[in-house]
Amino acid sequence: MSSSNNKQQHFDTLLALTLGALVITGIVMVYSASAVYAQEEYQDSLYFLKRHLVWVLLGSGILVAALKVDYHKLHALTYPAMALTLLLLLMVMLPGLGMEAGGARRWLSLGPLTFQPSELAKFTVILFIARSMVKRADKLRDFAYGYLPNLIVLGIFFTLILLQPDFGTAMIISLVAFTMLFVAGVRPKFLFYSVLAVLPFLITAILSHQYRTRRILAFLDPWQDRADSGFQAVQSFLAFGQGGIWGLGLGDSRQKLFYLPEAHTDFIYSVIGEELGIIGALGVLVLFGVLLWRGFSTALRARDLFGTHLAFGITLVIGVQALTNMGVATGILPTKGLTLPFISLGGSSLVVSMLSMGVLLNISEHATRA
Amino acid sequence: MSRPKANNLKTPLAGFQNRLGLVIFFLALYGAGLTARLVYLQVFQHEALLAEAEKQYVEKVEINTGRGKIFDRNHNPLATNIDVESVYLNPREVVDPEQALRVLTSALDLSPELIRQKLSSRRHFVWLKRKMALPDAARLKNQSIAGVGFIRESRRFYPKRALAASTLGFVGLDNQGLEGIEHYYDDLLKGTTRKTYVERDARGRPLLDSEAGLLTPSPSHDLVLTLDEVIQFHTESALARQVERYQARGGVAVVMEPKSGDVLALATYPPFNPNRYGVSNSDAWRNKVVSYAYEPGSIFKPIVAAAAIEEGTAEPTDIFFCENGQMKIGKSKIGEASNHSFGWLSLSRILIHSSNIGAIKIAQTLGGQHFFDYIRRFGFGTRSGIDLPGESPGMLRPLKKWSGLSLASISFGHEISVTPLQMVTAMAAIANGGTLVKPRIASGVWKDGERVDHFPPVELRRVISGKTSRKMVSILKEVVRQGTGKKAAVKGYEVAGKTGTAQKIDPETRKYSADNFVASFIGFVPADSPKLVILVMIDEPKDKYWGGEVAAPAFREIARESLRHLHVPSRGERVFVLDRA
Repeated sequence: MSSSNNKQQHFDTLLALTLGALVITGIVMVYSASAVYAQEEYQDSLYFLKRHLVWVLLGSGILVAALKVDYHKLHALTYPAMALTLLLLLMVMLPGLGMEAGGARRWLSLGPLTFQPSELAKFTVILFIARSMVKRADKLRDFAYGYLPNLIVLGIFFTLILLQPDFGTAMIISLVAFTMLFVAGVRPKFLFYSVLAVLPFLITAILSHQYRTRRILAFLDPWQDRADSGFQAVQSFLAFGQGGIWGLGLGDSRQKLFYLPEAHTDFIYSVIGEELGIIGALGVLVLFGVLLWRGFSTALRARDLFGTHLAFGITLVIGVQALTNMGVATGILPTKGLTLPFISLGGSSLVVSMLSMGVLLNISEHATRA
Repeated sequence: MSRPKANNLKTPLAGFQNRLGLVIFFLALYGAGLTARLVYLQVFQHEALLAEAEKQYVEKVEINTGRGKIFDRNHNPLATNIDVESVYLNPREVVDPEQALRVLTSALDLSPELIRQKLSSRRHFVWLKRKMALPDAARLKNQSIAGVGFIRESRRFYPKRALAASTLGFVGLDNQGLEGIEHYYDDLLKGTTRKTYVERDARGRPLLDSEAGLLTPSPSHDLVLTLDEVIQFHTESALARQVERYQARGGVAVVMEPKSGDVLALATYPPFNPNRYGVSNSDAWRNKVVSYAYEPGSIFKPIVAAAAIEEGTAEPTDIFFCENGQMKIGKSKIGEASNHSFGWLSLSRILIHSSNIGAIKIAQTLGGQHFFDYIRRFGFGTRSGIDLPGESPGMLRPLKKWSGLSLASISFGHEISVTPLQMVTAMAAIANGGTLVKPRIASGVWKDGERVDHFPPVELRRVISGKTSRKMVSILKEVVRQGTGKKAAVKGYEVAGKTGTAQKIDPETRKYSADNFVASFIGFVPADSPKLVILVMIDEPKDKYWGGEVAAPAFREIARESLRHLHVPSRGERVFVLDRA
């Protein structure tokens, strides 16, 4: 704490390098996975690459900005950020502002670009929990004061996102928030009963939408209905399967030729597995492993409790989202519309992830030397 | 152990660290599961998933390119291929279905319903029209409709049209041999590229240049036949002339080289054009030379005589009493043609005058067992084994089932049915010095102008001795010189042969008809060193029905033209042999 006065500390280099590797992998793979599709749909094979690069540049700018600003200023910005996020989430609901696609209202249209407020909500909720855990650090074992306020705020965000509907993001946010509460020291009993109470609603939500039920059934045996509900999963397996150990070679995926849906977004991991083999697929897994390691390490080395909780939350949300996306692609989790952080075609997800990484690197910069 | 308080500044993160450890443990467990899943999919399931993926990329398209050509013995083409264009549709690529429907309906001469049905197909590849002429396809190409594609194919073409059609046969739309040589040698002719796998993306478009593979023909296996197109032509025209002149139901003619068994010509009437086989009656497609069995009638008598001479039971000069034109066997009465009445005739004269009763007497000297054996040895009652489909073995009753009348009936060519090919092969044995040869129609396989396979002539067995053969030749020469076969004579050459006029069984009454005959002539020329054995059979001629009247002139014409074509020297010509020594 005291040494920082003598010598300007540097942010975690390994973490930054890992991030750079992921972003570069993303640029290469987005181009590889989208070129043929882009040529076909827009007569421009670079169509998606150009867009992705714009998002990467935007994200990098925000990352650098976040890195420059001391993360302690976020402490004061928590409530304004929450208000803004809630406003945006409500705006999505309005027919004039929200963009509807595939039966869901998840996007706000900002001129040529679209923005997904639920992505921002991931960051805002983490920010809120981190602040709350510092504020309530003495009374975490108390239900009414230590736990309930968190649950209410989380419940509001959860409900708004579920209404879009964006089941995947709602689940990720809840999982990360609960894990943050658990690690901070909230009594596991509270968390357990909360989940138990929400469970009937979740099951109802799953059963009320036929497509979710079918996704679950397709997850259990995708080959059963490989032409329809199991199509994505089966095509993804075929991509991984033919990639084998060494892969078909960069650019040589055959599954991306209109067989595999969402090849450059949600299923980009399958294209990696097909073109670069298990070597490439495990390589990406290892990169995220390093990111988790350095992120958690930053949490432990943070100068204060706010930095610890914030670093933990940021690391966890990126890790959980990455692992979930990979689990969906390989068929160990049911299909959800989640991107692979830093690698999938950019958008609000990439920008928010880059913002988070900027904050995380900033925390590492101010960390005490372990 | 008490939980450390969060405000304990000494160890603010002790509990946090433990709980973080638990989170890391679960994440690591999940990561291990993910790794295991990747190993399962990418290593253990690699082969299976690769094969499964392969299935959705390739679409099987059956295209035949480079079907083997068929040539006559002098390498004149009888069956070749011409380039045509086939039109296919990828319904998923069609942009404007209404426009496509309109253009395709008018360009392809197909019904709008059919095209609409094809447009709504879920497949990536549907044929619109196969094998269009190139200019027609080019016109459609110029319209450039999205989703419509073209594949160059080859279409079977028979440049000589009906020539040798019943021998060549024809092919179906996918160039598969359906009849004749095309069918018999289909495996050889069809070539290697029968099925083509086209790699396609999910929208059904070919990947890379995979379609280019369709266009490269592999070198084909070409078949060279023993047929001679010139002899074939003269055989067909002579046959057609006689059939049409006598308004007959049909007819067949065969020309064979007696030493090798090579079939030089094989004609059936009515003819058909294999380029458009669909428009003709399927009966015309049948090769009656091998698939039809007739009662041969008197042309069978030389077989009886040859057997008796070979067996030593009769000599050409031995005389037989011909019962003055009427003979009783059991309850049946047998007479002579035209109610002739013969007394004593030598064996030679029995053939010259074609006496039925004489033939019976000769057969009786042999007895049933020997007679039966010789008939078998001459090749009757079994398939010759010629390389043509649909060969009939004919009908020869086993000896055990012969009635008291059988030996008599068979001796003048009834109660037995034979294919024209069997008859020619048997006569070839008499002509060539006594050896039965296996008839053949294909002599070799050629590839890229070189012979890669050869089907040599096959001698099956010696049936009669050379001495017997010579005796038979001089008798059969007399048949043409002074007997029933005078009209078969060819100026400048000695002809040996035998006429036949067989009553047909009326299919309704199951008895021999008084009106329907098969008129035939079988013979060989030049008699003493025969180059050709020729059989002509005219089915149900009107007005005249004698083999010597109806069939013999066709024989003469075929013989004359063929001898000229083959440059066989006539008796008057002097042949100079240059001694190179």
